[in-house]
Amino acid sequence: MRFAAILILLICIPLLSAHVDSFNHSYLLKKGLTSEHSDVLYKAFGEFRGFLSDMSFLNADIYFHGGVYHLEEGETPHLIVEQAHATADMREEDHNGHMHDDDHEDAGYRHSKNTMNILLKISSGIDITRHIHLSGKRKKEILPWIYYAIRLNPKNVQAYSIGGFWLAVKMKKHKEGIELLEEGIENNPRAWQLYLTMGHIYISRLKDYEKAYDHLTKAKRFMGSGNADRFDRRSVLTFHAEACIHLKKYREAIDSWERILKDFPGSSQLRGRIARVRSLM
Amino acid sequence: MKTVFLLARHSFKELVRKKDFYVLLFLLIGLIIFFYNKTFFGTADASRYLKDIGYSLVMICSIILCVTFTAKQIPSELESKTIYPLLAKPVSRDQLVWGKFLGGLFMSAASFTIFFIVYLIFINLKGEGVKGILMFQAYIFSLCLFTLLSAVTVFFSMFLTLSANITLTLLLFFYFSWYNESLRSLLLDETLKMRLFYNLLFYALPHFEFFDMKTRLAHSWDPIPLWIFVSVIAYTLIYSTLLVISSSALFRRKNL
Repeated sequence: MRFAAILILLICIPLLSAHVDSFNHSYLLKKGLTSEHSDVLYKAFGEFRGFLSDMSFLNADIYFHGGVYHLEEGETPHLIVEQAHATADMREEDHNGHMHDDDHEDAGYRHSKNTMNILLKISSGIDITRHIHLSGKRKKEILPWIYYAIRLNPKNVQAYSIGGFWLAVKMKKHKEGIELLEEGIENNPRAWQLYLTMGHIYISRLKDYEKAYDHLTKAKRFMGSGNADRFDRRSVLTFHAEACIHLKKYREAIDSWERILKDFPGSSQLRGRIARVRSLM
Repeated sequence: MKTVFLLARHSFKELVRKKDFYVLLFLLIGLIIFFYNKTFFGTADASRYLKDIGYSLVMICSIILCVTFTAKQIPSELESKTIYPLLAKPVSRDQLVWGKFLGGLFMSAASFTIFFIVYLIFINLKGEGVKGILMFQAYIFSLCLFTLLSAVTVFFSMFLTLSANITLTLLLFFYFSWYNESLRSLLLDETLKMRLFYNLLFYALPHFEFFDMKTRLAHSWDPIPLWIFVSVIAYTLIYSTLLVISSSALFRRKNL
């Protein structure tokens, strides 16, 4: 008798769970929710995931500085600044001078040498008052936090963009960087930043100007409806013009430069470039 | 002294009998193996996050065991009335308090040592490893932390219920570990009024943040200077002794 009851219960459990599962699925579909909402991390953290993802991304920056948080209020994380420099100038090697393991005394750190409070002195002695910038193979230490930032929130465009840039440009892992950016584009098809990073990698690392042109054209298109400022526009258009020059699409290159001139009318260097390309046409 | 150690040994034996330790040990091993095996974008040898998360896990498991176990010591004796035969034997109230404090400390130290060994095995198998001196300092500082935590918990158990004691001790621990920096910044402010009050407050509150070696350990920074290392140990001993003596004084006045 007892055995039969257990058997019946064992049969009932999968039947009931199948019913509950199909009910949940149809409920989610009716509410217009996507498969993302059935993700384990979404179920565990809900919308809190976004916050955790941002924290994880910030932790990547802290790791880059040897575990030391040194940002002043409102300051941009170094990982983002590195990418911004590289995309603005298209010569990331120029900025590698700053990418070493040197110690930096934190300017904002407040010493307590003059205090009479012995506990305060101990407390200050325990603190790490310097930070380093990871270099060489140690740069890989930031990757786990980029990974978790993305897994926690697949809409974190910045994490995809910075992750792709650091993998492909800084760590020379082109394949992994591009795969990550492709995944980012799949999850955020209108994020111009990801197409910009793709374009940057294809131009500066892989010298594949066709693919760079495709991505940068998309970046140009989506940037119009996005949240780009004039500096972002300059990055996209500079890369786009660069790809066009290599593909001998001189007219498009001049169009891109002229759009930059609207934002930066004082750029005589750019005017010179336009004149040089016009003479080639 | 012998009586105190007998009481401490009795408390320590409870660790072996209780399931909590084994549950946390297997949970810790499972989580460390999970993080150990993780690869990130084809990179398997990033190790600092394992050192960081692993150390945090070891500390959290040990702190939970330390506080919950020590907090139960005296209230459970009172609740089950076993305190009466205990005090009827030639055991003074002071010895009982010291015995319970040392029992909590030995139990925490033993469980932490096992957790720490597991942690060291895994972090030495992956990536850049850890300097021996840093491991030693981290271990000693953790023992100091459990000494202070046990003393604080025993002190609170004199006038708080079990659940209130656990909650308050853990709140104090996390609050002062994370936010002591703000009190320190306040003290370093040249324009501070009531400086004496804040200085006294700074002396009176337990400085749990002194024992945090996570950043140094995970990011292979230099070891702590010797004078600070010795000062922190001295601070722990003085603060904990004062707390246990105060607990004994409170327990002597208690109507049982």
